Amino acid sequence: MRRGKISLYSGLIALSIYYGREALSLGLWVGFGPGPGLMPLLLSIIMFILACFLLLSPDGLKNTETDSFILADGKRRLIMVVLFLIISTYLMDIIGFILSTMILTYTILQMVEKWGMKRSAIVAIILPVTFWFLFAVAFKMQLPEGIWF
Amino acid sequence: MDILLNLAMGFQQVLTPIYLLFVLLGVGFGLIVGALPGLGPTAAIAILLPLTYKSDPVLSMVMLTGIYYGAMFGGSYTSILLNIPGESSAVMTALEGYQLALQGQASKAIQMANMSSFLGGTISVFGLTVAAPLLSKAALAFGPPEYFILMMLGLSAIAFVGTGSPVKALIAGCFGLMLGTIGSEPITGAQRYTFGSYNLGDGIPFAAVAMGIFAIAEVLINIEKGLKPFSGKTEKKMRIQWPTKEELKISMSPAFQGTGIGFVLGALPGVGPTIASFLSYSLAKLQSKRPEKWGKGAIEGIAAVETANNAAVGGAMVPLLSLGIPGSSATAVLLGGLLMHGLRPGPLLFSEHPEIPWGVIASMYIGNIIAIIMGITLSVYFIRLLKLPPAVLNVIIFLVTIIGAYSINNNVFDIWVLLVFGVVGYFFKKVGIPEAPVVLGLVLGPLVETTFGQSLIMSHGSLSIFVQRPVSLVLLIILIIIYLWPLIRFSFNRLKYSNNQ
Amino acid sequence: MKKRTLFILVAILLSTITLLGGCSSKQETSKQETAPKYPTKPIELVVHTNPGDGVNLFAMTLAEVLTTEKIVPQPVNVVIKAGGSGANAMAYVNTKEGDPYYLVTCQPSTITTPIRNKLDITYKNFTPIASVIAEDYVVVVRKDSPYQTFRDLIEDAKKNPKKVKQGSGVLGANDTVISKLIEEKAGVEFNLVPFKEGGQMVVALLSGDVDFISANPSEILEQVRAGKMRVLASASEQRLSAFPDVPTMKELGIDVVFKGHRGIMAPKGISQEVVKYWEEAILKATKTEKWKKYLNDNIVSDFYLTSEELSKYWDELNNMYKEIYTRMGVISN
Repeated sequence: MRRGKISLYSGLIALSIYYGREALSLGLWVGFGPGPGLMPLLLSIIMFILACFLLLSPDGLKNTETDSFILADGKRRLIMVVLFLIISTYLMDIIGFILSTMILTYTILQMVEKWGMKRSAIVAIILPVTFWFLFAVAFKMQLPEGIWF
Repeated sequence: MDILLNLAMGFQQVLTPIYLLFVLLGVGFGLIVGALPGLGPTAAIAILLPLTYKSDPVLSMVMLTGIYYGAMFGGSYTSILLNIPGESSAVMTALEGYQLALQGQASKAIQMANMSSFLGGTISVFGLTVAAPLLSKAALAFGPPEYFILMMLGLSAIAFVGTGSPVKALIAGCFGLMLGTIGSEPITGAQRYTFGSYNLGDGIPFAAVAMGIFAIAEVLINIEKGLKPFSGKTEKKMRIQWPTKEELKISMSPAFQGTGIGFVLGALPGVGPTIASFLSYSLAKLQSKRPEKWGKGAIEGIAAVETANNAAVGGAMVPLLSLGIPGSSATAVLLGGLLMHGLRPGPLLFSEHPEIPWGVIASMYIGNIIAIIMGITLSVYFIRLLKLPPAVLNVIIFLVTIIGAYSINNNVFDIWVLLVFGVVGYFFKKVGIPEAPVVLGLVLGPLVETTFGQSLIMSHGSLSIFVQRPVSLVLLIILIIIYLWPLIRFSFNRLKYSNNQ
Repeated sequence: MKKRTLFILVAILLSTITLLGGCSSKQETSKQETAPKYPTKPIELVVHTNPGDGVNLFAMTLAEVLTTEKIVPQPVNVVIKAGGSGANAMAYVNTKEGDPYYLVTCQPSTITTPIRNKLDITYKNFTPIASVIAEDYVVVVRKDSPYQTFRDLIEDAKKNPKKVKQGSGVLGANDTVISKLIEEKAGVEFNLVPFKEGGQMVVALLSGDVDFISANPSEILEQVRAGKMRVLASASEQRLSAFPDVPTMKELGIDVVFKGHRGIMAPKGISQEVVKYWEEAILKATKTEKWKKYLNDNIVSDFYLTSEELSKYWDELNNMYKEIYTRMGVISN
């Protein structure tokens, strides 16, 4: 937990330094008003100070309500879900909304939630198709189409 | 008297079966689409806009406005039930409402939202009826300097959300402000932090960030813990729960205050429901006798926010109908509806085509009544969502947020934004950094920067512009009081604490 | 267990793919057999702005006229791809190379967005079809402004450099380009207060926060009719029919002519017949009563250019914007 917090705060500090460096190259004052870089520079300084404060103060690293960073037993489930989300988003423009969300639904239900295959498959067909009908057919909204349509 | 006559004419027109049917259709559609995350009033109106091409202009305007406030009504449901604020004005509702839902009081929270929406909506229509010309003049007193101070007031809400450490809330707010600088800079148009991608040219879309950091992050945590968020906490029978008498009593003053704030700020072009809801929330928390309950399910918070953002609808109709100027993205699309019929609203609309503004106003009275009846009826079905198996509920949240994110620009890039901020939100939640200030900063940051730049250009670089204009000066004094308030309260508490010891 | 999961996954995938593949291949064969005349399926007309905006209204009206007047046998559906100042719409249609069922609106942003943001996709990646209309620009002041004529405004700006406030778009927007042209031709300097939304700019003018704006006639017509604003001059070639008493800048000796065209283009690699087809269809559409009513209601002028003419016009615009953006400091070489 401590390690997780330290790395997150350090990440914020790194972000603020990068952000501030970019800001300086943008120009701080133009004509009568502040230039594009002024507000980013101010923000990066504030962020830097706040993140340093959390990193250095004992309070900042104290345990909060959520007791642990990544739970050991939940780690696999979490990583799998994020992975499936990434895959299905990547596939969105290639195979279209219905297919990619079918894969997402099926993999989450079957591999993360350990549902039976039949039940997962049924839900994985019903949900995406229902959503597609509701949004694309009834509301005439655009959904990712993929290359086959 | 004129007003009464005109209003009577409006009612005469609207109280015919065909008009009532269109109001009903508009409100019902708005209610349902507004309840879908990621699809706010703007999207809801845009969906039905092409269908109104052939109908009579008054009829289609009545229906489109119905969609507008219907969607505002429905916007609170998914915020409360699933922690998905699809509109920036519903962020504060999610803050209190979702906590109540976790405590098994979802129905109560939704009924409170329904009643508040009705109250805010109806009073603001009344305001629109009697004070539209007056208010449109008042709106002209607001220029960039006044807007700047208003935005700073809105930013003060950062300090009022969240229950944990103020440093973490500030970090979150600062992070949101940093996100807000991505895209083209509002004064010179310079590209900032876009990494050469045109997708970031217009900035990071707010809705994708909000859905990611609130909803996706919540689902990720639940999946990690294997939690069933609502198990055992929902009642077996899905009855309608009403707020208790005491809860109604403490909600009274936030509700009326919220209505006032919402109506006035809604009438200012470019400000609208978002700032109104932020301000109403923080002012109500400031006055609350039990501030410790806020952020953990304070029902009066819902009253403050929902009255404000619904009252803003009536306010937003003021510049549209009396000046022909759309004040928000939703009213811009409404204007598009009029343009399609070759009608261009302007200062002469009330005298040349009185049937349009008065028809719309009369329909809003009726529509609000229809909306609360439908809202209460539909809420029973919405709450059934929570009875679904948690695994399915998680998948549904993924699917609707994906659709919502995609629909912003019809672009897969925004789904990536959604996912990235889902993961960011996960880490923030773990560390105890509150998520609402991120959204606040992202929404208000560009406005703060723009209005500050505009003010300085107007004054040739002199800061005195903020104190020379009377409205700006008054707002500045309020701003200073609000910013110093925590300090005052803090030192007061310290004093009491040391005395007790 | 794992194997069975994979099996089901692959099965779902394969069955849907074959299903879809089956559908599309059937369509293709039928196309070859009977060779029906183009277009055989609905057409997508992509636009980069939401309803309430001029370009969106142009696309909606054009699609409506093409469909209801039966000029095109298939429906023309308007699809909104907002974002990136038009870059999102351009990128989307660019992926449809050679597909004659996609059209996209073209307007000054088609030229300026790639210049400003240094994009790889430029106007050269598209086939020009036709320019249809143009939005003119007029200089407007509020009713109690001390400036009675455009001359007054210029004289005052000459006496007080950088003091006369203009409400404008973000630097690089068309109205800022017009200001730059006026500044250069008349030897003056304005103080530009940028607004992101046209509505706020109009409010700022009404309330006196800025001294003048240049806007499309449609944006201010109602305010002028209500006597809240006055038009001083137009940046058009000839006097506008909506404001016959308003002189052009050219008449006043400041030779600034500027307009924003609205037209249609298609992806790269479509056949010459398809280009001809749309050129004619659009020309037919502009002759209808509905289209004339649209021009009249929104005070936009006819600006029809064929594919070839539009291509030349784009090149001219591209050079013009590049030069003036360099002078304005929007882009650096």
